[in-house]
Amino acid sequence: MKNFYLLNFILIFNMFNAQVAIGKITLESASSSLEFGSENRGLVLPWATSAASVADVVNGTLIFDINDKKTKVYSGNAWKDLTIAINGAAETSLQDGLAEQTNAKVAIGALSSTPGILVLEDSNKAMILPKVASPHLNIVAPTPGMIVYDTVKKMLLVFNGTVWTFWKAS
Amino acid sequence: MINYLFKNSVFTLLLLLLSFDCYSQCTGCTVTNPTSSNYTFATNSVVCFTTGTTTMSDVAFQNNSKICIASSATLIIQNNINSTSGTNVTFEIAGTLQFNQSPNINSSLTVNIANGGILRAGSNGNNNFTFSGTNNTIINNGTIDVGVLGFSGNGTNLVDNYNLFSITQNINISGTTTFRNFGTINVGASYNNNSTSTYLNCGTINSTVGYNLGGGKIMNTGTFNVGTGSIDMAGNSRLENYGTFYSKGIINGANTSVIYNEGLMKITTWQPNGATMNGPTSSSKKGYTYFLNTVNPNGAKIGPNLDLTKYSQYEATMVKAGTQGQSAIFNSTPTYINSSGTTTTAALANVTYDCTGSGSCSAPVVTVTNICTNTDGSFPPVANNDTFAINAGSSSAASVLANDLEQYNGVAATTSNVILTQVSASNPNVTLNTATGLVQVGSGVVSGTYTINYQICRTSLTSSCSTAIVTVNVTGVASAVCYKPGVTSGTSLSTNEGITSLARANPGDANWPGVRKGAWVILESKTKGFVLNRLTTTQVSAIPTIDVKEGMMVYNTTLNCLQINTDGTTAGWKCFDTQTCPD
Repeated sequence: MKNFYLLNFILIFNMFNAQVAIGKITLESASSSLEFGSENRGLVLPWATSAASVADVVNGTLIFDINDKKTKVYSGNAWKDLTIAINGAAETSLQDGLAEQTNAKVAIGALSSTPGILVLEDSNKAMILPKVASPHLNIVAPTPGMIVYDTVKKMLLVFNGTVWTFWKAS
Repeated sequence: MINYLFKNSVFTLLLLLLSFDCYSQCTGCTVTNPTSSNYTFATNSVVCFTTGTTTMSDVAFQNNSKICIASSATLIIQNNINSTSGTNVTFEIAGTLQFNQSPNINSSLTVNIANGGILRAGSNGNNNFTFSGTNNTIINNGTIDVGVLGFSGNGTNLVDNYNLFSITQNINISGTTTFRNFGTINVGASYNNNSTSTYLNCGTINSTVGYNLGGGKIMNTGTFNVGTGSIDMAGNSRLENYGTFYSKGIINGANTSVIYNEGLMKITTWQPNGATMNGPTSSSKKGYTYFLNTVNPNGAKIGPNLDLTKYSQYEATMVKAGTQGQSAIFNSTPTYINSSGTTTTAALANVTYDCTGSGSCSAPVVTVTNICTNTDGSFPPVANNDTFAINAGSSSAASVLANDLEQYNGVAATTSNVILTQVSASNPNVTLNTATGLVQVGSGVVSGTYTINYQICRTSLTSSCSTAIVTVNVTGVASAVCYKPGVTSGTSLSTNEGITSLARANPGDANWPGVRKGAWVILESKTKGFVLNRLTTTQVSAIPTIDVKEGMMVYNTTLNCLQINTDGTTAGWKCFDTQTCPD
């Protein structure tokens, strides 16, 4: 499977009861917006020029800020640092010279005005994170901005290009 | 305000700064910078000198007048001083106060000299200064220069010297007078004391010649150097040495006088005349006394727990005499006494001769430092540092007081004989239970080393305090936070999917997204994020139980958190707000 979307338009998956699975055929949950397969892979967040460059941001937005090389979530109307470590690294030359299509958006669920490169719109569904056993040991050459769920330790992991940062239930 | 035990120099500095603040500010001035040649400091006035040099001729001090001299100001009083017995006068000196004559002040004086402040009698500091008032208090953080220092009232005098007190001639004392020296006192001639004179020295006292202790008391926990004159210990004179005491002249004892030594004393000539020389009551300590000249015991009572060593010279280098032993020091056998004062043998009294030479000392030479006695001559408590290893959620097995003393040389500290307070803690969940003395570590505390500063003050004298540091090594809980490098060896997986908002000219670009490794999908945008499902707590709860899967993530708009399901049950939704470590 090799799918590549060049988005000069707004793409909407299955307006009603939208669900997307990448890397597998059978959905794990009927209430998922997005699911992934079982290989040692994560999800790479968009590399935003900076947190400030994200226009009209809403709570629940995730980015990798290439200004300070940190994964961030917009939570409680403020950007929250999920990387903490300050030793991030990302080679951005592949995107530096390219122009942004400002109206590009992928929505899963009923389209709204919420901005985002990928927006999970439904309020009765949830994505299932890519799940990997001990991702920090098993994902080879992870990409900066990656997030993944550790099934062994039940942790959320984010990668800044140098190190993984680990989050657990409080 | 003053604590008597300085555990470290930072604390000392803090006290000096506090003192400076207290005494350097002229507030509530009723008169500022008067210029009259003859001036009366009126009743209840606060007369402030804030700048420059003011010279006055004759002055009068009335009751409750106060002179305040700012740090940049100088007041010179050239001629006569008129003051009345029974009145109170205060000098606050941050600048300079100079009397060109020899002041003799009948008022009770309170003198506070700030760091940098100077009180001087005579333009060169060699004139006499007589305190004739009933009760006088001098707190010196600056410099005092006088010739003869006299206290001629019959009340109570207290001198607290934290910096430099220079007396080029004699000290003449009446009344009940206590010198506490935390700094340096230099005395150029002899001093004449009475039975209620007390010198509490934890700094340095340099006395050019000797003195007549006159039944008074010296407690030395610092350095006390006495020149070639005589130290006359008449009556019940008592000399207690815990530090270093050096006499270059003669010490003349009396039948009821006592030298107590648990530090180091260098004596040139001792004429006991029946005097007692005591050492510590416990053999766990020992007083070391050196002699240059042979002693005629003449009824001297010696012991317990002393070591006596003969020297052939003290200066320029210390040279121990070739022959040691009782006969090297005493020309006849002294009376050895035990801690009860009962006559015994040298061996039972643990009085030894040059025990270092034979390597048989029951305790080493200890000269205390940083312990200053209280005004009443009692010692402050001793708080010793502690180290505990404690599991998170537990308490220390022992109290921090276990190695502390209610007083130096005193009984063990307990929660009843000292007041225990926590001064500071490096972690709010690593704390001292001041009721029990136990250190408590909260259950959420991560592994690491934490510190608590605590203070103990004697219940019977709450101004007498000591501080110490507890080091707490918390064990048993994994480090809360760590970072792990990404794995680079092994076969990486190219990413086959990308979603981008960038105008990539060639969708088939072999570089992207395939160059990004280890992902299911790469999202790409410079100004847009990845927006999760945003659900309220109610909406999260509404996801059918059968559909709830571990690893599900939403943004919970009720809780404002990233909420992830940890076990595939409806109870498994958790806010992921805590940074952690997989180890």
